[in-house]
Amino acid sequence: MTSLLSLHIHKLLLLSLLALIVVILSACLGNTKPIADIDWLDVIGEGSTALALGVWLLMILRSRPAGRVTNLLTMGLGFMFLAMWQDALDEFFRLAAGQYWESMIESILMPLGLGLLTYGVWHWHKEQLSIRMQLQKREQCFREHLWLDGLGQVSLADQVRASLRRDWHRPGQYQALLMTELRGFADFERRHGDREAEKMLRETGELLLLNLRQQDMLCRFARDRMVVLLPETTPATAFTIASELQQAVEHFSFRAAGDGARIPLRLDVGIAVRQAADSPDSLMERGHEALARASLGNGLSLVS
Amino acid sequence: MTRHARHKWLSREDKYLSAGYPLAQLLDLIPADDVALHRVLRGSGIFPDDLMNPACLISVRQVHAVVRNMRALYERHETAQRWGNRLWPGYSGALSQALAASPDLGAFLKTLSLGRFFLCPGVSPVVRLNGDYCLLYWRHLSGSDRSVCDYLAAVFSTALMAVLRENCEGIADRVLCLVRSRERSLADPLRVYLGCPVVTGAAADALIFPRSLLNQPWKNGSRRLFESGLSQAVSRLNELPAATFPEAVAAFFDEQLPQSVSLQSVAGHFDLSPASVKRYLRGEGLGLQDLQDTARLRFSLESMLIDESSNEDIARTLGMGDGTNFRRAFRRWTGQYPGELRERLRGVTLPRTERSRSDHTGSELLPGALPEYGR
Repeated sequence: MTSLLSLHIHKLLLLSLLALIVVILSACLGNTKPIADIDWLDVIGEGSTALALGVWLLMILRSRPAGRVTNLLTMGLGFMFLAMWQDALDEFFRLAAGQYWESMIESILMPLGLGLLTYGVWHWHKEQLSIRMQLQKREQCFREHLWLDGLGQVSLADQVRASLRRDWHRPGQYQALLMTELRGFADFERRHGDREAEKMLRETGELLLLNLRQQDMLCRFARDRMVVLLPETTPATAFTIASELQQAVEHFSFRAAGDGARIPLRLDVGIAVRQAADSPDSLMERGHEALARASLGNGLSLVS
Repeated sequence: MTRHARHKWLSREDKYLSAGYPLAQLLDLIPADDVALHRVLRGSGIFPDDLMNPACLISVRQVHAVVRNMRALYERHETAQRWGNRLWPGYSGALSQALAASPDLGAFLKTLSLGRFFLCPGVSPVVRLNGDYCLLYWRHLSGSDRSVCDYLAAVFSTALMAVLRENCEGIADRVLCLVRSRERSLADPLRVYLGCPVVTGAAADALIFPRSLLNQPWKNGSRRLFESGLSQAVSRLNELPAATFPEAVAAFFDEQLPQSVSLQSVAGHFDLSPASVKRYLRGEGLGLQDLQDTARLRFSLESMLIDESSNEDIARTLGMGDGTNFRRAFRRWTGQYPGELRERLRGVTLPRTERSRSDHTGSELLPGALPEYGR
């Protein structure tokens, strides 16, 4: 997070410098108002607006890499901040008549800032649509940052539960669910350590995402157990997808750190098929049951 | 009745734990791309250099402060389960040797109970034999907040199951895990890491397994190595007091069950004034009523789960009058009525047992410092 802010240090320095110049100009060209003449309600209203704009700008810079959208958002918020800053300073300094620079700062920078911010938000919207294409298999209908997984870089099972609950009564929506696990992951974790295990989780997660359809969703339940939600899918298609995922993982060359030896992987997949009396939780439960059977058998099991 | 001398209790403020184990294992789970060690150590009084200093000793309260930070900062990294997965036998000298070479679960639990101050700091493993079942409770007696206690219960349950899986075949359907917490962030991972049925919101943190499992020989066990490790460990443990004051009081409550015990009785038992009993417990962050409630809750839970007793029966045994009083008390202890817990336990089957009763007895199982509480 901090490293992203360091990318924008010049922008922040420039904005701080401009804010300082405005203060110096007001102090040099105007007279300080007596305390009794200060309208404290205006100070609070205009000052807090300027402060909020400054905080928004910092938060945006802390969360975005450099680029066109960031520049537009920075300029938009920066100009708005300067306009409100000058507005707040007005409450402390009385400028002589005929000093038009002050009203120009307020009247020109604010609409200019609003225009740049709007243009930046429009580009940000287009950027989000592109990112959305990449994230679709991880989030589908919901985005909730609290559900993002710290280990596997996909969402947690709460995302699956929310999607199931939301679309449960849409006819034919969720008929099948896959529950997957890597065979021997616990041994691998013990032998190679947590870092390598995390790497394996991330890489196999990416691999599974590549082998899923656009409408499917992959989440991590816990450890190496993943849930795949398959909308509008018949049991036969779910079976085919499950077999394809197994083959993809078997052909994947995961290489451990050190000697770089290939670690053979095998994926157990349980397929849960929805029944009339099912609820979202009971479908998930059936997925766990199917997976337990799969790991005791040949690695693939369908429970309906 | 044994009388206990004053000032022989271990306190949560006593610095006797090495900073290296088990704390360094937990800190190793901080993600590689995050250098937030100082944030994890914040408020604990431990500095990064202390972790490298073999002479530095830390207290249970400090360990729990780190655990609290770790949970808050890395909730979605399954640190409790991952820490537990590699926690035992660990790096605690002769104690770890005894754990690693335990010939069976009974011996393992005996070592765990003896070395609990080092192996599961701030939590007391309590073993009870009830009919065909053995119940292992994680009793929280450190005065830490709920989030730390829930986290530690998840750690130690995972740790024990990891050891069991390594030493026994087909263990998954022979253990039932009860989890007091209802949080999915703890319960979902537990289900996968433990591999056995997990009941959340179960009013206690416990593992239930057939009594016969205590004697079943372990694959990696060696009695000679175990006994050598244990005898060395005992000499090290003798340097510390045998128990904490809350442990001793909790054991006294358990002995007296199902009778309720007054403050005067506790004070008389320990040869202390009532004010001193309260003061000692307050120093550990606990109250006398908390301990009494915990003992009665544990009794009620077993009665419901294993003996399948009704509310009225339990109320009568505990001297609470009628079932309504018991329902109210149960709700105060757990936040739910007994019926809600029964509903939660519906469909959960206790692990299968062999009818042949084990010849394991309480005195064999646990050392004097932590008596066995079989009925």
